[in-house]
Amino acid sequence: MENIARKQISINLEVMDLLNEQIVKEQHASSVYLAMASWCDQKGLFKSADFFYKQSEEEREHMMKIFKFINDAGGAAFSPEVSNLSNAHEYTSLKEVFEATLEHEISVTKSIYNIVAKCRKVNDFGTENFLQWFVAEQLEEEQTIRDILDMIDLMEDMPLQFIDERIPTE
Amino acid sequence: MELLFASKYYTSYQSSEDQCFYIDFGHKLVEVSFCQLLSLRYKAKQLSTSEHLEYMLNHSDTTLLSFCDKKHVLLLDTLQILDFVDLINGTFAMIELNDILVIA
Repeated sequence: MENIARKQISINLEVMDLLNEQIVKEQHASSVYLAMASWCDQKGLFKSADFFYKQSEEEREHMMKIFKFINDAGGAAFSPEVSNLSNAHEYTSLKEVFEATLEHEISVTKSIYNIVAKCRKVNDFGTENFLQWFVAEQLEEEQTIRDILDMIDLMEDMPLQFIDERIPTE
Repeated sequence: MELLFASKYYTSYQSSEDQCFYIDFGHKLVEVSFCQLLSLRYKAKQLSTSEHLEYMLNHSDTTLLSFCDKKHVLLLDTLQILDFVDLINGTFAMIELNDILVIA
């Protein structure tokens, strides 16, 4: 029997499902970072707010990258629904915001690794190649947040304003 | 047309000549492209969630399923939903099996 489905799609369907789940995660991360930016902005922590506005945009770019990839490969990308943001607007300290960010990035990294592992299992080398950019990006993201948390620990007794001024925005 | 999968109520086929798929819903035969089949797969996933099935059982026991860009609408009860999900899963399993056999 001729495989007419294969002529339409270049990626494995189970991998496509995982990529669609990743789209939801990236969009959720974008919304969480937007909530964090709002928290920082309201507290007068403008550098931190800028950091999270930028992070929010980056996560959306990641989401769009995956979204486009699925459709370009002949699959079907589905627009993500974002919910469960009720706790994303409340934090007890700036340190808690960045700790939550690190946890979020780690969960995204695990999720990406999980898709890469699936790609290898089903021989979807095209998607694995596409995901290598995300693997490198996640390592970089985690490192950035760890550096900020180290800086916050080192400057623990300093006024919050001094810490905020040292948050990287580029 | 080549048979792909038959569930209790519905049957799926593929046509190499037309380069598309067909689903026989009993009362009508519907032509679907691969993209539309992927969309049906997504809907089947949504309809088979425990939340949706629980909602159906506790309320009207019917769901309206529109597909192929709203060209077709079906009114399905819980058993038909489960059978539809079975059809979609079976159809994609056969497509995957076909892929393995073609490669081999």
